[in-house]
Amino acid sequence: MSEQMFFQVLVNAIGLSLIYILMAMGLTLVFSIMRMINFAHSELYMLGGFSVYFLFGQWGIYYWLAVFVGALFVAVVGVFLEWAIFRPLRHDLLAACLASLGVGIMLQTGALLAFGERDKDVATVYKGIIEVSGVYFPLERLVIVVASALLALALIIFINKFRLGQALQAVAQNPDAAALVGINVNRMNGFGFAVASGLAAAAGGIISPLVYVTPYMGSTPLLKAFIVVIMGGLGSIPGAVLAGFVLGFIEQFSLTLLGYVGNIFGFLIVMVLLVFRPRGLLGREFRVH
Amino acid sequence: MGLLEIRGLSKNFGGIWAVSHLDFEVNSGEILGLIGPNGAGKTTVFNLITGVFPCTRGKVIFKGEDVTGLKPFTMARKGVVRTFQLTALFESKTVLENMLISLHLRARSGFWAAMFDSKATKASEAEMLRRSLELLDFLGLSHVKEHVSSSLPHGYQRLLGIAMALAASPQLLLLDEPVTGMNPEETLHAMDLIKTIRDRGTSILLVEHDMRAVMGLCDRIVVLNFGKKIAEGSVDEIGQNEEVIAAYLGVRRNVAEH
Amino acid sequence: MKNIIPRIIAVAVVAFIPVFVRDQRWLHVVIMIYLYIMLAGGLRLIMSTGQVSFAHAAFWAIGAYTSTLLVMRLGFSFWLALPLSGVVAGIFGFLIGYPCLKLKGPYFFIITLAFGEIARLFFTSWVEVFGGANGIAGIPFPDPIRVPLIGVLEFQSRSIHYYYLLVLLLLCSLFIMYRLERSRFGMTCTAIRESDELCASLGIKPMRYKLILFGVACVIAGFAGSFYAHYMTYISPDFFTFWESMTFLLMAVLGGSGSTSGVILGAIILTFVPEVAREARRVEPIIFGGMLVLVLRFMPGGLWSLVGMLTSKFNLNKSAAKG
Repeated sequence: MSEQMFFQVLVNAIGLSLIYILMAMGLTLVFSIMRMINFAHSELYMLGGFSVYFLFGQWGIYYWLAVFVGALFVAVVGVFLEWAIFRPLRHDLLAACLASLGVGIMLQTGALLAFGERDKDVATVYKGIIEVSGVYFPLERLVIVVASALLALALIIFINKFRLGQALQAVAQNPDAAALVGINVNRMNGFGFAVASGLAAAAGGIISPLVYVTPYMGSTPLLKAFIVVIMGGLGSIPGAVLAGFVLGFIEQFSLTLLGYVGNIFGFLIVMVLLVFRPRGLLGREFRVH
Repeated sequence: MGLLEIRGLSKNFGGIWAVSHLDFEVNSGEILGLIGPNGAGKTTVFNLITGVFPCTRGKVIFKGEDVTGLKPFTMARKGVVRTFQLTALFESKTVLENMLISLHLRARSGFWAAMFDSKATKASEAEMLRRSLELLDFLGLSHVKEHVSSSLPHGYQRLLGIAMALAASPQLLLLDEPVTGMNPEETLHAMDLIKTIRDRGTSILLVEHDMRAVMGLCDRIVVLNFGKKIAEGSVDEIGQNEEVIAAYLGVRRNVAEH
Repeated sequence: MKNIIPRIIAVAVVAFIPVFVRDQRWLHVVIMIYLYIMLAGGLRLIMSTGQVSFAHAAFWAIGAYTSTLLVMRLGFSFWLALPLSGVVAGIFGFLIGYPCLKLKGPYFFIITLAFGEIARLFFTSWVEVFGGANGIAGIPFPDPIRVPLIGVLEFQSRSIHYYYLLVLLLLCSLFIMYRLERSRFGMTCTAIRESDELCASLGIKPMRYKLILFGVACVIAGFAGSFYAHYMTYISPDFFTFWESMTFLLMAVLGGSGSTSGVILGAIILTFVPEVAREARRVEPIIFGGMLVLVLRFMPGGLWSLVGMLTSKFNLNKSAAKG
């Protein structure tokens, strides 16, 4: 592999990792607060992509504003879903997971009917190529990498340094104790779900210039996000970050070297991990509450 | 040599010794009480004996056989059955169904038995029904046998827990706080039942906070604090033991009242 | 004894369907329903111990590919390949099930999801053996077989004999499913679903039951796969994706995963309705997704529990009328 190619694959790997990380952080956040796995997460990502397609691609709104508005819109959708469907099913986790599957199906088909099956193209926002010490990168890719990294960083800072974020952590660790200190657990559930949804939508919006926007665009990222979440440990955000990089790098390099079959590694890793260390790299044994 | 021997039993949870260097015996035909303040490690001992957790160190010997670390279902097969502190029942099922399931070790419950409902299987199931009714009768639960178990009042639920453990035909019964949460009347009824269970040949290891029950039922008592044994002896000996009193404020007062 | 009459009626109906249904398209629908009953019913068996598997389509695929390769590459007769496919799928079921069933809840769901994808990627990537994304075409019909008292049965495309073969397979599968459900074995399984821990303390080995059910369900899936391959005469990895696994799940949950009858209801509804409302095909996933959500939210026992409620009201009225 030439040096040029190596660095390009490297940047692609980082970019891939960051998208996985954004998806996984949202999934793991919802799991840590509500103990359920949201199978509609992929559709929230997809809605983010479509929001940008319409707001930026069709109506010419400034790109970053489009991403933000899309994320906000999907966050609201998330609040509604949590309130209407997942909160009442809090006592039966399996039902909640299956219900999220149903919601995902509905959203995906709804998008299919509303927007059609054909791939939609979002124009490149940052055209051009930049050169870094002899290696050439498309500017768009670099921007996506930087934006994703900033977003991931923002979430981590929010969770650890801001009151609301710390409240989310409290609910994740022990909802009863959190309630005792005056945290409104129900509102936190809704808020956490909103944050996770917005994150997924932002990921979909950020990556939209690079991929085709279709109703199915969320399926593969969701699958990969599952792998990352398990690898990192269900409920652990640092775990999601670490595992996201591990998976992104393994996959990008194996895809480059081996082709399509390189996808198999992620799933193999998950199976092996689940058999020998289900709590992943950084997870804890969680109590089901 | 006792029915159950605990030798040097120790368990470390992430740096903390929940149980350390525990030695005691349960003799055949006796009721041994295991008491101690909250967090002394009593339920952990149960978990170690029945194989819910692996022991960090030490041995569990049952009827002369080393059973350390065997899984719970294997321990049940060998004759060691436990109840749970937080009542464990099959909540969506009726009292009778709970009993029928608990008779698993006596019933024909294999795949092939399920495939062909032979005369032998039918006869076995009739026998299981008979035993269930008999046990429910013994515990005074016959009148609620069709009720869904989660709808029972607390006292009945704990009795059902004991009934289910009995259905597994234990030689050694580990009772985890059987009368906690019961009113005085229920407690006396339960105490009678436990004595009868012992008289019928099942040895009992009893964890309890209710001092009346402990004093009234136990032949001997082992006292734990911070995972270590601090005293062992008869009811009277324990009642006078200074260390126990210090660890367990209020024992003396209770004993004096009776 | 009261069960005998409805059962006889059901068997009679099933036996005479091809007589009344001449249209090939509808016969195909019925055949698909029977296949789905076998597959979703198998999934229900696994779910009765509280494990939700997302890999079931993979075992269906293993059955189909095994049968195809045995017949086309090794020259086996279909009639030998059929049971062998069941056995092979069952063996894989035990092999994969053993490490996976140690996991619970969402972990088990995800590992089966992963396995389903691995299987699909495996079949798609190994082109020389499995034909890759294009699959395998030209799968031969079952060879003619001599049946005592009836004569020689030949299998051409869409012949009625496929139907009766499947009925035979279906009846065997249903026998197993109903017997497991209604026996002590089944009662123990539902107990395991409620609490592994309590069962273990009573001497029950949860792993044993889970493994047996998983293996049995995979054997049934293997038989279904073999039939499917030689009926469709063409298979590809696209037939066995996680969407198929999801369909089985939907059928089980919608119909009511508490009973085999519920799954039958779910399979009939989810296969039949889209065929009837052809135009509604496009909105079909929304409707099913919506039904799933509504059922989970308001009717956890599935639609079959609705039937249960109605029949008990009916009985109540009957006895009130008598008394």
